[in-house]
Amino acid sequence: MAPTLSRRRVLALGAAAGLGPLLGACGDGGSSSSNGSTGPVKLPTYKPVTAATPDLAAEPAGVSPGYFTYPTASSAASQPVQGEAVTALTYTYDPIAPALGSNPYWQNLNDKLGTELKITYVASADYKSRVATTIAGGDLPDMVAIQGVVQQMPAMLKTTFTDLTEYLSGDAVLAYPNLAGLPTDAWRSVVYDQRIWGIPVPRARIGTVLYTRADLLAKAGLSLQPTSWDEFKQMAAALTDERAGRWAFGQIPFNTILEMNGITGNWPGGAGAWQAKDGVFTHTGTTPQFTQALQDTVELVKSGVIHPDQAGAPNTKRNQWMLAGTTSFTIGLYAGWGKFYGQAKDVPGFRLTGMLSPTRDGTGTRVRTPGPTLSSFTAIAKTDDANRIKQILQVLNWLCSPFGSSEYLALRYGVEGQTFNRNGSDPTLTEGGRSQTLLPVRYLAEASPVIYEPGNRQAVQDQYDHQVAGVPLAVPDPTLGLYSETVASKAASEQQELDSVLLEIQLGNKPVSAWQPAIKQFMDRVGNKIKAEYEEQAGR
Amino acid sequence: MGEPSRLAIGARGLVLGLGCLAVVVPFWAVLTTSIASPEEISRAGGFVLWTREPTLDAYRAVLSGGIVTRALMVSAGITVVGTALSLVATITLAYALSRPGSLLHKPILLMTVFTLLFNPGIIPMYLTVKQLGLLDNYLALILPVLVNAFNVIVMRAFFLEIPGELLESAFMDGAGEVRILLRIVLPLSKAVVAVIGLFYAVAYWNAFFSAMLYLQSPEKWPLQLVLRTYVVNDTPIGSDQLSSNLENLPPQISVQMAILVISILPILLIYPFIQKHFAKGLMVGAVKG
Repeated sequence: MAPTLSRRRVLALGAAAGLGPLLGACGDGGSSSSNGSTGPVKLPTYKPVTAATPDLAAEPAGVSPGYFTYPTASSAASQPVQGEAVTALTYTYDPIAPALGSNPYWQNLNDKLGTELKITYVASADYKSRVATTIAGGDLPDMVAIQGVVQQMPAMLKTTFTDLTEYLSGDAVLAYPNLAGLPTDAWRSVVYDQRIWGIPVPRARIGTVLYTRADLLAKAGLSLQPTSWDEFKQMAAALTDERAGRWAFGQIPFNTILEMNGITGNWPGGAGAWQAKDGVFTHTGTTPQFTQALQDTVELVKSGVIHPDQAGAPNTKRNQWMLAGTTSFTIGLYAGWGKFYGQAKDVPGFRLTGMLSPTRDGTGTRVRTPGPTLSSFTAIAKTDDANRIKQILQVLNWLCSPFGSSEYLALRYGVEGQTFNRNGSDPTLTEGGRSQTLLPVRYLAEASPVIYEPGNRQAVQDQYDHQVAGVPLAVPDPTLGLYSETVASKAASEQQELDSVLLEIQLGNKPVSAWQPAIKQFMDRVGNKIKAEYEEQAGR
Repeated sequence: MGEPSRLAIGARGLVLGLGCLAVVVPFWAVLTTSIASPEEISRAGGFVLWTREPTLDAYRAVLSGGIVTRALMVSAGITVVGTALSLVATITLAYALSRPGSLLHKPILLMTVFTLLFNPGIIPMYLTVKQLGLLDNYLALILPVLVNAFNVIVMRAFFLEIPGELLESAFMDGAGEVRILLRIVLPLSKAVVAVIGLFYAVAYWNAFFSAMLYLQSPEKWPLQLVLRTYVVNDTPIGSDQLSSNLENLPPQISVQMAILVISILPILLIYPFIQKHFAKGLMVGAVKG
């Protein structure tokens, strides 16, 4: 009876997802196969930028630098950008920020930037429908954040956005030094049809973390790093006391168990489930190790070390369990690590570490599933005006200014004395600053992540240690930079079916033997096609 | 039927009491959780039923900065204006469709019913709104949903119930259609107008999706859309959230509950005034849809 008939709207979203083919149809065809003659695109040259020497160096490759304190003096890393205002559409995971008129942080940002930045944004959950309608309406802002992969992605990009290859490929990127500081793997994810379509918003490579309450483990006299499956199980049992309302895990640590069996993949969803050897792609779900991991999981679940309410619990709840000590672990993306410290400020002795997955028998090489290389990328609406494109790239370059620079200070903290004060050398946001800095500029472009927890040396060290130990174990994702139309269009529903079978098996409602027919059906319906698409692209 | 025994009364009381509790307790939990202290919430690991140290921090956090208060005004404005316009449009359409022999009676009725069955997708809607030049305009939240076919049908059914003789005699006395509608039909239809008005008001109050699509500037957002940014990202750590700006906020759950209270309070306040019409108005729709 509501005039908006929301259920139909939801159905209509399905129609929005079908937008790609329409757009593709009006363009020049653009299939997902290669352009042949152009050959592989030269990725932007990587040249790290730093505005301050880190306390913990970014080594080995892929590890984020660590800072114990904020540098006192900050120098400029970029030139202000002249020219007319730049409009942008992006998403946010935060509450909305005050409008420009009552937002000194934003005013200061525009001032320093030299160009007015007009940002429109919606909650991340609504972003896909907003982008679909905006593209359909044809009135794109100058910059649009692109989240995830949609159907007919290459064709959609080609008809709607500017090909940035000539501005960014190879050494051309050096004209924008901060963009040259973005990691190469992140650039791989913005290449479609061998062209560069945007600026990645990079993420740390460490990926998903098995967050560990180190203080609880220490109290129980347990090692922070078990070395085999047996030790892992013993640890879980030691941390569980059902009568006292304590369990080891807040969710099934399936990905850990997969890694323990030597294979990668983030389930549910199956991200990173493809592995490649000599150009042959294998879905890890089809391997005997996966079945073994399922058996191990069933065993672990049966032993009662997982919170009984775990199924269907939202992550907020699971995190709360861990903070309250009801569980000793929670699983989440690395990007959220710093959040726990704020939420745990009332928890005495709180110490958070990350646990690596041991190998099953305690010997051999450990593996790790790397995380997504980017959160989203920012594309520029189609235009032929080279000067305008350069101006917009300059703006993005400015937004990517590194930690420690005066631009970074303006981007994250605003105006000293107004939106932040210094505590020692560490900037601390004022109450007004906290809400004003919620403006989601960082979801348009930002520098590579750094580890910095003001006033919490241990926290910086713990995160750094986990990265140093974990990053070298990461098995590169062979599908990085490859585009499969089947994944973008048809695989989602099949994957869902697979995920539900997986869950039933994990919970013991179905036998482990139910996996084989399920994965076979997945491979028959979409998996083999995806494999062929990946192999064809990787082969050239 | 004689007087029920004490036992029967007691049993009924118990059943009704339990029923009431089932409704009241969740509300109570929402309210207390929104004012509970962080320690209590972390001790309870979720909802709190009793708080010793009530604090309004969650409300302060939500209401500070003036964004929510502004959005509250926007929502109130849209709800009042939208409901008024919708009622005018719905009443006039339903009245015209209830009068035999009005111009193009059948086709218009069919068109109305058609929209009940088929709804345009969001992209055609968006394109229409854009063509009308209503992007970033509050009217975009009202015009596309001005008339709801279901409500028109319910109201038309109610109007058809009014004895024709009454209208006929008014007509004999020289009253025109407008006068008949205003002086005779509407005073007899308070119940249905109240109910349909409430339907519209609740829908306008709750609508966030159209605002998300059509309003470009966040400072124009209505309350529900603003509050959504606080609640919808239910997985702050599982998802790709980096911001640590919120770390000094009260626990997320009390903020969420405070938001719940803020967003349902206005509708809850209106409800008692309309409630007496509610059962009657709904019945009409039920037996003659």
